[in-house]
Amino acid sequence: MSDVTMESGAALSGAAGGAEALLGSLVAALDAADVGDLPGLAALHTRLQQATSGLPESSALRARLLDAAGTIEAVVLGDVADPVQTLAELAHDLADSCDETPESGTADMTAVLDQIAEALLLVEADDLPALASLHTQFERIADWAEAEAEFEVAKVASEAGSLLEAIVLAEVADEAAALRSIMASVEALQSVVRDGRQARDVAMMRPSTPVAEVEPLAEVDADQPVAAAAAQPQKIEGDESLLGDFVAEAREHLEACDVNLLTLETDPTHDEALNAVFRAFHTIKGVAGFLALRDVTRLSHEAENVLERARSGSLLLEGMVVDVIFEAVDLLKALVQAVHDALHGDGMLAVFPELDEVVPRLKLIGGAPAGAKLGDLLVQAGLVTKGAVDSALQRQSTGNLKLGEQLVKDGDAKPKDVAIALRAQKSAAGGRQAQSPSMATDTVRVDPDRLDRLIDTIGELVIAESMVSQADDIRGLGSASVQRQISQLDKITRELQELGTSLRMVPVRATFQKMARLVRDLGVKTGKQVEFATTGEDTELDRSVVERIGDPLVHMVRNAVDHGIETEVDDRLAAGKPAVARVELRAFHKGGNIHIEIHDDGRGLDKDAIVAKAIERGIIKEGEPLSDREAYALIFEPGFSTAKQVTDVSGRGVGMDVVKRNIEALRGAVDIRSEKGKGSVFTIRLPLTLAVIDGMVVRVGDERYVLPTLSIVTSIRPSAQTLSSVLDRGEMLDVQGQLVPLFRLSSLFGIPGAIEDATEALAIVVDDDGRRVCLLADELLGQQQIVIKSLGETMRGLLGISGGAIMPDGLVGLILDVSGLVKLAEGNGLALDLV
Amino acid sequence: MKALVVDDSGVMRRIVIGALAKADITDVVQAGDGQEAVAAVVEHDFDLVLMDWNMPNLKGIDAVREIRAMGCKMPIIMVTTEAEKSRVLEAIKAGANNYVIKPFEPQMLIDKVTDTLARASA
Amino acid sequence: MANEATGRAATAGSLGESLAGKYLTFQLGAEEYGLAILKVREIIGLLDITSVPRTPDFVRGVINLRGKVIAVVDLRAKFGMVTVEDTEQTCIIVVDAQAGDRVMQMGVLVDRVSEVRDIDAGSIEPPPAFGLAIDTSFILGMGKVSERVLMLLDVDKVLSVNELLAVDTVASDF
Repeated sequence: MSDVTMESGAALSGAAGGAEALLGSLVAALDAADVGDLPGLAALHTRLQQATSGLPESSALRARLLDAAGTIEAVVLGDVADPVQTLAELAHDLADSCDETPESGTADMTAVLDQIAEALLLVEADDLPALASLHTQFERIADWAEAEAEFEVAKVASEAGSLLEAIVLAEVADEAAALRSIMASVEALQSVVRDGRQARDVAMMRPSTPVAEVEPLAEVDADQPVAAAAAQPQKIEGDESLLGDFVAEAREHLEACDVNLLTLETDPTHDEALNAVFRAFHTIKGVAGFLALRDVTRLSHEAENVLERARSGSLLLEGMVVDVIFEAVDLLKALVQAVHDALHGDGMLAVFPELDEVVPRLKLIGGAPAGAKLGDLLVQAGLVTKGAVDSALQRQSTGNLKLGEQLVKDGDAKPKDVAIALRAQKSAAGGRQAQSPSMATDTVRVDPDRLDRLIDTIGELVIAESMVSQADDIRGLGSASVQRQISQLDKITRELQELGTSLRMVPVRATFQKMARLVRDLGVKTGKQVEFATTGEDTELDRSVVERIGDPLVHMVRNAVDHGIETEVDDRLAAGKPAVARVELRAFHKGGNIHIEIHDDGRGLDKDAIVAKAIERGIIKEGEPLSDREAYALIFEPGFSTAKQVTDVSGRGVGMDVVKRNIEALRGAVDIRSEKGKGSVFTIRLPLTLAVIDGMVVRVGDERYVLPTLSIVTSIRPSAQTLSSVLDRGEMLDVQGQLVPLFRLSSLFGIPGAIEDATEALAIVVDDDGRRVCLLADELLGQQQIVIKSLGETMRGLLGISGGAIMPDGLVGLILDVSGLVKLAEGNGLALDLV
Repeated sequence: MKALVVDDSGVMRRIVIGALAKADITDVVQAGDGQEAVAAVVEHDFDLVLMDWNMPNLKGIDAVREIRAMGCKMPIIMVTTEAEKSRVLEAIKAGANNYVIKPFEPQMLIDKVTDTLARASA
Repeated sequence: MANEATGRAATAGSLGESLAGKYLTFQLGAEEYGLAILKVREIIGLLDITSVPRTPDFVRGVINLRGKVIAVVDLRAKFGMVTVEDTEQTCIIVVDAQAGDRVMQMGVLVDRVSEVRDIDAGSIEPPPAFGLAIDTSFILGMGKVSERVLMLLDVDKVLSVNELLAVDTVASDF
């Protein structure tokens, strides 16, 4: 301490503490430095120079830092014979400087006390850094006194320190009095140290200002009143957009909670997961406090307490404890949903009576000290009255029931609460030591609307660019340099477009994580032991696809657990499979598509049973030869269900036909592989992105339409020989020996001015779910990549049109939907039943 | 007056920014964790930092240490919750100038900011 | 919270109160109409409209509004008035229409946009009743401004989604 001039406490801690930390970090950087990494060394050089800025000219440390900077410069410039050795020495030297930085004085405490006294005179009660540095000084004195066995002195010093802390924490009513009291202690200490007075006299001089009674915080202590008030519906207040953001953020946190809790269930000491769950509750509580969301605050506060205990190592998160936290997560989700609903409704928050069950349970777990008695725990949580416990204890002494059993028998406690209390008791006994590394994320969150706007704007840029580059005026310039610049502009625009598209891509991770929770819940519900695994969670899909694939996946995963996995474990064992079943989700790229597979190692699909059921339901006729694939595909037919019994889990009236329809709406397909007794694999195939497709632009009259290139088989000019009409109503075209129905876009859409004579027009053969039809258009205008735009709510369900596209001229082009067109034609009586 | 608001919750950042706006502090940069905060401090000159405590990647208190280790002197106010109150002193020793406990009234934050800035410039 | 800018009042007494406010006025032939300003996003000049097959006559088609595809309704056709050639003054008012629980943008094709007017509660009267002969359900009220009468439109009703798809519903119900 001796060589640091102290003007005020703040200066002291600033200079000494800062320099120490700085040196430490510089030494670490030097240790890690690579002689080949010149930018790294340059950065180090800068840091060393910067580090000198706060130091006085005369400082030895400053000189040493400047020396070090010089040495590094020499290394960078190659002026050093052995750079590795030089850097190592430098690190060593600086490390020494570290050690030489002033430590607290050992012998001469008098100087320290004098400094404290001086600082105390100058310090203001709201100068927290100064108060903190005084606190450090008192700690040093206490340490010194301990070492010297001057325990009374140590006590006085540490009490003065505590009082300083109380001032910092605004827990002291009269700060000036507290400071005077500390001053008095310092004077007493000075006299002990300087004059060798008896230490016991010092004891008289302990700081005496009482620490103010801190008002109990409402959120911590007000459970009873809050519980009573909870029955009243609360109206949401405050900034709606903040509330909206809160809902979104809380949902994100809670979903992450599910996954992390699952992780914790298998590994209760998983620190990352533990911290992430803690932080979720912590953040939700913090924000909810501002938004006056009483119930959310209350619940997340209790959940946070439980997690805090787990973090500190005094509670092991396992079994029932995790179940209760899951309960809390679910309830929080419901509460957050209620905020959402209130925002979009009348502003009133729904009332959740479950709060009064879940909160006490959390309290039970969060508040169970090691060695606590069961009765005390239950009473503390407010689940049982003290009287009930007492009378149960009395009756218990006459019988041979345990307390918990007695309470349940008397109807004073719910079995579940007793079980939780017992578990909490046990968990508290077997705590653990926790560490807290943090979870890594390296993403920036962006408002999806802004993202869409960015992508839209890029789309406009692309169009504007192509209009400019193709403008006759520009071409007419005949300037080579302008052409070069335009092609450069073109290249950049395209890169930007690709980048824009990639921004829409999100990993399927979150969706998969939800399935983990689902499988867990299903396992509990059905009593089946199921292990869940995922691969390829980082596989990316268009954001809108990810949003819409959730429901079909839920359904299929449900099916896998409910129907796929054997009900009896014995059946599995008999088939030579492990007792614990396995459901796995995989995502990967394949052939320009994304594949998502749901694997289960259950009983597999029973082809015969499916066929029999399909015949019974009239889906197929008896005796139709079917491949395995075709037979399995029958389960996607409307009205098909293979479940022998309708269960709570899957029997919800929504069939696999809806799943298939949803996936097809995403321009995807679903396929099944299965082996009886071994398991099944459901494969969902999805396009990489919904947003961009290859399209063929066709003209009909004055209108133009876009046909997805993928659905086009070929295009031909019909000849009189290949054309035939049926009953004067329908037209057929002979396409390579196959008769294909021909539809005129002009008549389907009522477009005037189109070519009447089919032999003058163009027939485009398209594939509609395995069936071929011809569409007659006037001519083909060309092929291009198009960005699909929704026509909005207004136009949804429009037959024959699946969306719009912004064409290069800035106009909207309509995208044709082949199966819709076929329906349209059939509805108009234009199509023929070929069967 | 340029301020850095560090919090892993976007909503919380908006709340803090909203309060700052009432004190006419509108030039605000946001950071979502301690690492981002340190990076922001490297990139900009701030007159004020509002730092959350519990964040992924780098905790608030460690971010304060790093910022001070870089030799930056701007006032830092810790935005903490009741749970971290016992460690407030530690944060101040690490280099924070003041603290405010969530949830707070906007005026309370403004007062803290005003006091802290006044003290820092004194 | 629903943004009930055009708030539908049940009683005539509170009608004026609930409807008072700023209106964008526009013309269809000789008639003058008002749209609650809060519903109006922007006014754009006439641009090329892509017609959409199998939609009612009053659906002019769709336009590209800065990368977004929105439908445009021809109000003359919607109200069964004689359609006229587009002029220099023909323009599209882009509005926020409520469709179920979503708000979507739609274009409304009108002859001419006039001005923004403040209409106070006192000068608003309930819509006239013509019986079944004339559907006035999408008129919220009649505003009287300097001797002229403004029909205050309920844009959500005018642009009802079901109506836009009316033709198609018939087609798919065969």
